[in-house]
Amino acid sequence: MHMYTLRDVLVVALPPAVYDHAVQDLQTDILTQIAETSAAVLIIDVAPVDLIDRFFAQTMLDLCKMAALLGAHPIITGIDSPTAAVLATFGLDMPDLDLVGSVSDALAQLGVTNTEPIPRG
Amino acid sequence: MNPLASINLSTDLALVEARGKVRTLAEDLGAQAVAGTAVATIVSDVGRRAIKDDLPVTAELAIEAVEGRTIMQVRLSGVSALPEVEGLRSRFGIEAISSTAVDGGRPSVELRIPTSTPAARVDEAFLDRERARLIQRSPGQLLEEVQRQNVELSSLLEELRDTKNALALKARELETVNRELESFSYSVSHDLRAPLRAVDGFGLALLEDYDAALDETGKDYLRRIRAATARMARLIDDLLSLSRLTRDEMHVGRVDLSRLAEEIVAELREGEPGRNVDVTITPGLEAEADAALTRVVLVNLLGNAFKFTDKRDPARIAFGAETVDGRLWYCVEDNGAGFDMTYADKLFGAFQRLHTTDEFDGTGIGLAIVQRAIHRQGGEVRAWGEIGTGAKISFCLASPRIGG
Repeated sequence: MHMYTLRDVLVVALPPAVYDHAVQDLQTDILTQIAETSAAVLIIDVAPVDLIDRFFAQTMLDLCKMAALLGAHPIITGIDSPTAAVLATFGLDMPDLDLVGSVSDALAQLGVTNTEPIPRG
Repeated sequence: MNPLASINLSTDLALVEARGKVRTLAEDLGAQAVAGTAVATIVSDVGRRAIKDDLPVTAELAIEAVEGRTIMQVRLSGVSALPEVEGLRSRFGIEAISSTAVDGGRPSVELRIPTSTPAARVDEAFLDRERARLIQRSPGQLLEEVQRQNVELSSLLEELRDTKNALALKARELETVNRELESFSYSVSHDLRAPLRAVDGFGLALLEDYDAALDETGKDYLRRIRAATARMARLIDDLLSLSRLTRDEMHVGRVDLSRLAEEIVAELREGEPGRNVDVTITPGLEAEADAALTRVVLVNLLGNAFKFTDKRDPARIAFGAETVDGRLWYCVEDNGAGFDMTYADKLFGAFQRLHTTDEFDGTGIGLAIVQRAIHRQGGEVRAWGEIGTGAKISFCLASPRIGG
C-alpha cells in the first residue's frame, strides 16, 4: 500500500491483492494516517487491485464510513466499469459515495494541482 | 468435464490465482467483460467463505461446446449453494446449476458463461494453448516474487543486525569511557581539595601569625591568594555536583514545579533581603520528573535570574509554561543582563561564562548542570537572550519511561 498527502488530501493506492488477514491492518493504517495528518479528504485508489469482490468492496465501504467519522470526505477512484456493473447488480449498496474515475480526476475536482507525477505503489 | 485448470481455494494466494484464471479464460474465449468479472467475484466470495470456515472447495475451469457455441464452465465443488447474487442470469446471461452430492461425491455448483468463440475453433491445439496460458497465471510466478522479496528482506535484516551490534558495541565503549571520565573528575576534584586546603590554611596562618612581618602589599597578596583558593574550592564543589548528577539513581514521580519554584524564590529572597524583585509564578505546574534533579534545575535557573537582574529595579522574574510543537516547555524569564545569542551554544558548556566575575559572580557551571539534569531526564533545554533586555531559558521533560 502506498500513501501520500497532497495539501489536506490523503491519497491511498491499494496493493494488487489485499488478503483477509491484512484488511484490518490496512484499515488501521489508513485511519491512523487520517488522524495524524488531519486530512479533509481521503482518496482510495482501487485501480491496482486485481479484483474487487463483495467482501473487499464492503471493507472499503466500511473504511469510507470510518473515514467520514474522522472528518475526512471519502472518494473512491479506479473502479472499472465491469466491476461497477457487477457490484451494483449483486446488490452492493453504495449510498452517498463519491466514485471518480482516477486519482488525477479526483484531485482536479478538488482543485489540488500537482506538478509531480502521481506515485503508484 | 475435462478441466483446463483446477484450484483448491484454501489460501489467499489460491484465491488470487483462481480470480486471475477465471478472468483470463473468459477474456480469451470472448465472454463479456462483466460476465468474467461477475464469475471471478463469485469465485472469490465463495473462496473467502471456504477459507474462513475451513471447508474444502475446489474451482475447476473447463470448456464445453453447445449448439456450435463455446460455453465456459466454472465448477465449484464442495459448495451446495451460491451466496445470494442477483441478476446473474438476467443481467450477465450466466447459468448456475447446483448438483447435490451423488455417490459419496461432493455437492457442487456449476457456472456456465456464454462466449463468442465458435465451437469449431476449439480443438486440441486450442485447449493446449489455453492450458499453457492458465499455467502462466499460477502462483509459481507469485511465489518467485515472494521468494525474491524474502531474500531482499533477509539481507536487509542482516544489515540491520550488524548495525545493531555495532551500535551496541559503541554504546558499551561510550559507557565505559563515560564512567572512567566520571570517576576521573570525581577523584581529581577530591584530590585537588587537600592541597587547596593546605594553601588556604597556610595563607591564613601567615596572615595571623606573621601579621607584623608583612607590609600592606604582602597582606593584600595573601588575601588575593585566599580569595582565589575559595573560588577554586567552589569550582571543585560544582564539578563534584555535576558528576554526582550523572551518578545518582533517578526516582521519577509527580513534582509540583510551582511550589518548588516558590520555595526556591523564598530562599533567594532571604539571601538578598534588600532587593526589589517582582516574581510571577504560574500556579499548578506539575511534571513527571526526578524531584532532586528538577530542584537542581530550578535552583540554578531561578538563581541565575536573581543574579543577572541585580542591577534592575524592579527586577522581574517569571516562571511559567507554554506549549511549543505539542510539548510543554517550562520557562524562567527575567529582565536582567541577558546575553548575545551569537554565544548561545556556549551557554550550556561547563565553565563557560559570558560575563566576567567582576560583573556577575559564579563559576560558569550552573547551566551545564541544568542541561545535564534535564538531558538525564530525557528532556531538552533552550535559551533566548538579548543584551540588556533579559533572558529566557525553557526546558521540557520527557516521559518518565526514559531512564538515566
